[in-house]
Amino acid sequence: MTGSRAGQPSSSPVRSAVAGPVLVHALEEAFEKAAAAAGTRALTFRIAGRVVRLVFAGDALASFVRDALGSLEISGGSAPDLTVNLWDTSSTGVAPPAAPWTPDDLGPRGEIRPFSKGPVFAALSLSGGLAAFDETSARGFFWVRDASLLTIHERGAPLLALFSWFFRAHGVHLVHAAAVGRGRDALLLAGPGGSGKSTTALLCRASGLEHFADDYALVSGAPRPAVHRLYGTAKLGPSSPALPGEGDGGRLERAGSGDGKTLFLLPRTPGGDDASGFALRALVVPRVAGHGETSVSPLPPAEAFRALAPSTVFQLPGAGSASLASLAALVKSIPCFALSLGGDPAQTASAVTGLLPPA
Amino acid sequence: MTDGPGFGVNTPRVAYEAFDGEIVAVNLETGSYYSLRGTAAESFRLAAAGASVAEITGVLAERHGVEPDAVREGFAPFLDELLREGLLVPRAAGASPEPLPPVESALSTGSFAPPRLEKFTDMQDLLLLDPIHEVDETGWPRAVPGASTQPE
Repeated sequence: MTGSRAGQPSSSPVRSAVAGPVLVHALEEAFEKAAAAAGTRALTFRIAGRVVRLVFAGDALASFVRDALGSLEISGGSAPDLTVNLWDTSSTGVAPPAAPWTPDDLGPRGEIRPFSKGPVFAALSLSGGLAAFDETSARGFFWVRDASLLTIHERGAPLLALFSWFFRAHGVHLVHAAAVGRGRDALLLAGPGGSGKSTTALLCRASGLEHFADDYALVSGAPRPAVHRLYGTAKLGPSSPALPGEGDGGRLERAGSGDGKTLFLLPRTPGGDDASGFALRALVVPRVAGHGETSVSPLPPAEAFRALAPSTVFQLPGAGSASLASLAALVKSIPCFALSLGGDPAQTASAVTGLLPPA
Repeated sequence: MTDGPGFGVNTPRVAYEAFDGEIVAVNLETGSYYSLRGTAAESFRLAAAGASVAEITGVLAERHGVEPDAVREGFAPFLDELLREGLLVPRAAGASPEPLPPVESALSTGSFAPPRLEKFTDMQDLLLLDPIHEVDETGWPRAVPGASTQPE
């Protein structure tokens, strides 16, 4: 059977209401079979103050997730706010249930239209796996045929859609941005790929700032704008500049490669994060000028929004007007700056550091 | 350009946010997003509220201190572009319009700069980041080997 991606939205509230519980029940049954076949292993994390418990059937997926989230791991005694069951078919021998959708239900960003509005969300991953989340029971599922199919992007940012759905319900939003800071203060670095945000973050890290996030971070607006750590990975391509800090004790651990990129683990302060996060002091939009002095100048909120919001929502299945409204409110609540990256990388960190409160 | 029952934003495919002096509209289906400033933002706000062409040109003519025909001439191609890009759709006959947004203070410049739509397409590739084109016998998509590309 071959399906096309075209087609008009075909979901309806009635269909979703019926299909959601059926999908969740089928995934529960499949996971239980996988767990019986391969045994289980649980890892617990505290992310933005929420306890996230990941239960793996077999060992195939655990190491990838632990690489990306490791510094947020806590002991397993706390009651979870979110439980996710994960398995793969290759190591457990358990296939997923029959898919309760048609090819015409598949939309952009891996979206499965009958499950794009909740309370049961589901989307396909880049590797052809499934992420599903039941908002009512705070239970999630992740399945993939074979762990080796996971792309370098998924290994660096596992469970992206799941975290987006879960945290959004708690007023915490996943954004495509890097984050650096000092103490309890943080700056977001936003912009599309190639804009210089990873380079800026790595230069800041080499100068002694904390590198909270490289590709994706969590943000919240209340009680005050804050950044929360999520993945501790950085994905760099061959055109990325030499890693600042290499050779002086700051070498980053490599965690894999693929698609011409190498995945590095960011050393971060270990331990789960509470809900207060790091105070978000400003949003910075780097732009590579490549010559002249590195400089910082105020940026209108609309331009900051254009740097942050589209590249965020176009990566997250189901993200739409509500996500855009939250991001708009965020950029209106903090100072925004353009960072023009000149010819001397040594000027970058000092320009960024100047936007943080004095140590 | 004919006057009709007015227009509305093409929701849920399109969302927009208003800032001081600029509206950013996002087409969630195509991956394009848009910047509208000045008269473009003014026109869009009125059209998004369901105003008819006559209402839009009337309000803008008064605000800018020009004749309605001067506004109409500049507004017509802009409206066509908004419809072509799928940002606005004609409002169904009989649909109730929203109250028009408050008119900002009169500029009385004696001129009307034709509204302009600035389009950005650099995010469209993200919507194509999908190696999934075929579905197997159980209804599950197959990953097409080598078809994967990654977000930056």
